Amino acid sequence: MKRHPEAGRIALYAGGELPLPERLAIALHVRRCGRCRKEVERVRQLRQALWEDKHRLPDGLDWAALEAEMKANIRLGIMAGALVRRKDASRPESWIPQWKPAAVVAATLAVVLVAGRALERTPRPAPPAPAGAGIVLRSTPEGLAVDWGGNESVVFGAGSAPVAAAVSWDGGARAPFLDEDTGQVTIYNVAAQ
Amino acid sequence: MSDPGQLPAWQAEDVWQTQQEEFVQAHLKRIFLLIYRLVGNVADAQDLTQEAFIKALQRQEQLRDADKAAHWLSRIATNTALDFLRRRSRSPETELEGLPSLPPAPDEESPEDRLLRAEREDRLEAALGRLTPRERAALVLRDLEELPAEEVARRLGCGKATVRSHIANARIKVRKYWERRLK
Repeated sequence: MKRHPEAGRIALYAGGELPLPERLAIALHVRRCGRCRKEVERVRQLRQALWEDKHRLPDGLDWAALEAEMKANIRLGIMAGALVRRKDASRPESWIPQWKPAAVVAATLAVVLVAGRALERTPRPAPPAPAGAGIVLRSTPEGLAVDWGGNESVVFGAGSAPVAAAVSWDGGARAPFLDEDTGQVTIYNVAAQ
Repeated sequence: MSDPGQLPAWQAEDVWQTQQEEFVQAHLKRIFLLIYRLVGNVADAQDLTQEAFIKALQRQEQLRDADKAAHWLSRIATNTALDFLRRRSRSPETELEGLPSLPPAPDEESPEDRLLRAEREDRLEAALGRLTPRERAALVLRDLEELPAEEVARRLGCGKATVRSHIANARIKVRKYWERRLK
């Protein structure tokens, strides 16, 4: 190779990306040509500098704070994704198989009605309300409801149905709500005392 | 990663949550830096890093083998960043202004060292900023991530010859920019 290789070929030679025959031809040239040798050296220095930069964080960045924020957002994102999947899974796929849930509901209602009749025939006195049982937590289609002695009701998450609701062993209740327009997830935790 | 699918549901959920946290802890910095080098600013890198992890962690079955999972996560991160760069290059607006300022880093180095480091980083960032998104991605994946040119081509969805051309152009542009700045 008498002519100098193009700058692009030198740049690739320095990084080892050229096929073997071309690599050998340039290697022979570079051995004899001081100008091209210098060019190869410059590209190698550049690659070295880039590589050294690999693990360096941007100047002025508080990694600990950013890391904590990202971890929290990732956790929230995964939770929101799980809620959306659960909500989607609960939707019927089309109108055709809707008779199946309807049949299940009808059968359940029939069982409840028969059981109700049977219980009516053997009336039992209502147990006395324990002290402090004036507050009742309920999961309703409108959200989490808190009844105060049956007179007043406060509903958390009104306006949207909860994706899931759970009542804990101590009488507290928890329900996540998904805003389908914005994707925002709100979790209500109501503790019983 | 062990298989939480073989445990009872209540235990499996706890095990899976712990594994997710360990996975995030092990790879967060590496993935953030990879995306940061590709997109060039912290705010976008933060959003895209979170997006990449959420995408990855929704595919539980892909994360069973730790080595494969790390490789797979890098691919997701690269693709997420490249999609973003494509969208940004189509958008008439650039959102580089108005980014939140960063909190100061703890003082561990002398003011002179810090100045030199900042200058060098500015120079590198400015040089990378002069590349097209594809040139930048090719250079970052080849010279920083040390991926073979074939793999870079696969990730960028183009031929090996095209990738070599991107790499060569990128190195020449960065080298020229650095040398001009040094003079």
